[in-house]
Amino acid sequence: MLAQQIVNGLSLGAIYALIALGYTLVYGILAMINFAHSEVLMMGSFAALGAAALAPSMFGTGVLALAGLFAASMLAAGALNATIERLAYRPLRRHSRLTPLISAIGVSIILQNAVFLWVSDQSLAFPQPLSGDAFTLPGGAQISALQALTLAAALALMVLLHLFVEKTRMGRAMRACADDLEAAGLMGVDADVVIAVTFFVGGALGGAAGVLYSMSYGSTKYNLGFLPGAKAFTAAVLGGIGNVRGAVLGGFLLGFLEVLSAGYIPNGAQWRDVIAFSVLILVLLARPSGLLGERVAEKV
Amino acid sequence: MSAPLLSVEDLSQHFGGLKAVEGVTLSVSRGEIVSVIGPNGAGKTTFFNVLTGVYPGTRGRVSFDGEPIRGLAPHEIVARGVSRTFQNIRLFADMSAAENVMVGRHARTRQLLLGPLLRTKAFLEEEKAVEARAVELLDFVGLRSLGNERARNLPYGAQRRLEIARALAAEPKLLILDEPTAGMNPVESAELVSLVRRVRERGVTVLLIEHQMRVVLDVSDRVAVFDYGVKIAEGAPRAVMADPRVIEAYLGREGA
Repeated sequence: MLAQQIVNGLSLGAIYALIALGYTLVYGILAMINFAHSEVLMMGSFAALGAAALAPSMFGTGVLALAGLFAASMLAAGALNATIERLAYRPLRRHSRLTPLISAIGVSIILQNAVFLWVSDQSLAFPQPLSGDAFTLPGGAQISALQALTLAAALALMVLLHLFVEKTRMGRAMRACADDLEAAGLMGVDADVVIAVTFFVGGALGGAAGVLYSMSYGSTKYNLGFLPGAKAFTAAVLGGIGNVRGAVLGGFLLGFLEVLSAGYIPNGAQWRDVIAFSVLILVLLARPSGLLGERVAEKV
Repeated sequence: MSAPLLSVEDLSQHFGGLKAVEGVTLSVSRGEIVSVIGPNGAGKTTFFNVLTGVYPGTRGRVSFDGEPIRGLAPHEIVARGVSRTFQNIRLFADMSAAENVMVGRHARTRQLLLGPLLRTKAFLEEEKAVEARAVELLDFVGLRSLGNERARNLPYGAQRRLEIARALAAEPKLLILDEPTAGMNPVESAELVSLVRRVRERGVTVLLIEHQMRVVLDVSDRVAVFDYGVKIAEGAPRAVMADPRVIEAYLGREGA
């Protein structure tokens, strides 16, 4: 059932791609891996759950409930990511590159533990605003409503991101900062504002992924972000970290790899992470800067 | 005589024990073209980096247009009216020439986020003005037909001139040029001299680092000479060139 695997690969890859964009946007400007990004998407998922607890109609089905979950998660995750940058990374920006990295790992541990201790150490049921219907595509593959939503949402967000980066003045300033942060400042661009916006945008994309991921499991948990975060980081590196198109490509490739190894290799479901990461290592041996990366060597 | 546009008093920038700039005093009047010269490692670029906010400065005062600017962030100094080019070209290589100039306009525009996303009237008008300005500046530096080229694909001399257009986009009162003729042949250098003069005709004061003595003599109203982080001489170009201390700094003491 190759057609079915393609559908599954696309929808899994779309989630990885959304998260990978958050890593790559930040890396593109600060040459820093935001290791707290996993927790940003987890916090987005909890923010959506919290909003639903305040407005129980969000536990129902329908477009409004769906929009509410996305809005809560994306705003919260974006604001949280920008706040983390302000408090934990900006004061360290002029230090060695390892310093903010350690700060990021610290933030990640703090956020996980805060949710673990103060909210819950258990899986909590996540709203399911979609019906369980599946549609049959030409070719016989089934696509669930959630998979269709995942693809549509990811595509829409990617188009919006593209327009933002290419067509707005802030996007132009972001590209200038990604090219040469210091020179951009000397040309009158307020780098702090651009960096804050970058973290917000990256966090919001992660928040959207957090909702989609939680809906696919029907629940959320304090460590929800770890695995997709690690995989999406892998995807970003695979595509060429710092490169926006690379993050999307890497996300989809990783999604396909996992789904195909699960579908076609005996016991593949258990081995899929091993297979995916082995392929990653092979790709990086051949192309250390990732598939679409150009200038990583200069930045690392 | 009116107050100077730029007034630097006793400015120092130390890096640990290294006194890269030490006790420099210099003022630049409106409409002047002033050159800073000196051997390699004399602290000229460091001096420019303190003026433009790359380094905070260790001691001393910098006032621009009557207000202190030392220690401000680079983009704040741009907003006050100082912009610059770089010794090693630092264009935004993957952007078009026109986009580079438009980024230079950033400090003079208001509509950042909502306007562009909602395509508000205020934004569209402002963006139109930004584009018109970019075209005018590209034309001014002789790159009108190359606006859509990626910066990285421009010939070397054109990249240097694009940096000047990008810096002018911020509507500076003072333009700081760090070795604008580096790597240029005599013909290109002469063109650059005339461009610098035309920049002044726009009402922009110019402070530049320059190594080619022919250019220095051609373009400068006044010259300041740096050596080992200290200003060792200042005055009219020909007088400075004849100053024994300057000759010594460049050539070493006779018999030493």
